[in-house]
Amino acid sequence: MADVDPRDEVDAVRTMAAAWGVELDDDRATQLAAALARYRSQMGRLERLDLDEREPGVADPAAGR
Amino acid sequence: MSAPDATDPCFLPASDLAAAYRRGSLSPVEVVDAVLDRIARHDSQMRAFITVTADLARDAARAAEVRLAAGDDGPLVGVPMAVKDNIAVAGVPTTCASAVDPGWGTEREAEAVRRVRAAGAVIVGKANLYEYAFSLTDAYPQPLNPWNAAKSSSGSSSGSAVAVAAGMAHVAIGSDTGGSGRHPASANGVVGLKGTYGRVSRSGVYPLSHSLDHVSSIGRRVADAATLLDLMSDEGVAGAPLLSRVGSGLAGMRLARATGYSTDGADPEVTAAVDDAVRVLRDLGADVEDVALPGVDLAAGILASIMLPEAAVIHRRAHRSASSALGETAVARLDLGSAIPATEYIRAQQARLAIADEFERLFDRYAAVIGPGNATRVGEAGGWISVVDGVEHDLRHTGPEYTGIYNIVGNPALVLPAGFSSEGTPIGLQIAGRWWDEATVIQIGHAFEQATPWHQRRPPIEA
Repeated sequence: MADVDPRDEVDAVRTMAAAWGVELDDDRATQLAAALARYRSQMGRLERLDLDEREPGVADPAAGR
Repeated sequence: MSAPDATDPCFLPASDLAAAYRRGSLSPVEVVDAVLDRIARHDSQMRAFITVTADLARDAARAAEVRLAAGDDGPLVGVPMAVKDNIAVAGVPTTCASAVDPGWGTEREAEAVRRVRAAGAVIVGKANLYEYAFSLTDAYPQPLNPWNAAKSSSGSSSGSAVAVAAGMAHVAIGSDTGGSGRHPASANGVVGLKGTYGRVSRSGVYPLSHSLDHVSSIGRRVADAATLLDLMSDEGVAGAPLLSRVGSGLAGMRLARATGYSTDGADPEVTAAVDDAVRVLRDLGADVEDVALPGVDLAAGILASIMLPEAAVIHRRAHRSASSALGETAVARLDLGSAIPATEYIRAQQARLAIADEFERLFDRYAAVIGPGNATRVGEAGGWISVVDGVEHDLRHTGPEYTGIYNIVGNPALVLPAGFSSEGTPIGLQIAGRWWDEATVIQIGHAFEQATPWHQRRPPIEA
């Protein structure tokens, strides 16, 4: 797998955030890029679960009545 | 400084206070006055409260005296209570500890609050918290830990826990989305209890994450926290009455000691406290086995995938237009929550059910799971980090494994005092049980409490 330039990651999250209407300064964009990298690593562990047949399991709104 | 007097009514357990009312040896008006006086003398330093509701409290105390005179023996009649300030109390503003006004005004009242007010509890104030229950903020600095002011009081229900620990309320309502009710209870040496997901209505509780939010109770004794949770609960919820097994022995009960955390053994003082707790429970007749909990290594990812996108939707407007008024962690979490794809949110919801199934099978074999309330003792005040043996541990990363796992799977969980660190800060033991089986969790917690001295200690603050 080719190395990803961290600068490209920061630019990518800044572009993504702009699409939601949020302007990120350098610090926030760098922090978000790092948080996303950590998050992807955490979520990679879910690969061991067999989730294909699972219903989404979104919480029952009635529980918050 | 002098330690609080052992008979100081501000430090009585709620159950003892209610008994003193029934005997006529104390009255709600005098106790509420003593609590308000204590708040007036200490809270500018402790920062447990955002709003003190003195007039409301005195009116409620007088009404409680009338009820007691008429023979009402309800367990919280006249008992001073704090309410976390993300939970609405009619007539009082809700700030959520933020410079960004939640816009709730003063007319709304949470269903849980309505129930405990109807049961006669006396609200003395709205308690400080992490901003919107998920971020430290300069606008409302963290309350002081009454055991060691240099150390964190944790969060997010820190004001609720500090108020109870420091004699400024006898019980408190908190909220718990990933451990927000249990971490501060553990850090401040009191009892924190969240019930099964859906036991208590969240109407009038400012949401952080609809899938994970729970209303929680805090008290000085297991029975006090259980009584408050019971009175907040919806009618007709499943399970045995919460206090129905208090006093029953633990002989032959099978318990799982939780292992499998990525930070197992990170703090030798926490490990020693849990080792001691296991010995106590074995002496009480329980059979305790080490068990690797399912899915704890997935908890951080699942919790982030569910909590943060839900929070980003709830706070969408402030995130876009007022982020400079939010705390740094709130902004970072909302940034990440907005960036998590819907596919990952749904995958995490699928994983949540898969892990909940594994926990259900675990609870077929064991009556409860016991273990530490967190990986480490609390860290420095005003931060998230604990340093043990030169290694940094961030509560935002350890919390999902230790406490957040029970928000993910929805099972009831209790923390109670189980020792003290060499820094003088409390260490909590966590007990989790089957869905709707709070009664067993409370039975075990009460038996442990009766067999240990930790709940009898008081923080070294002025009387």
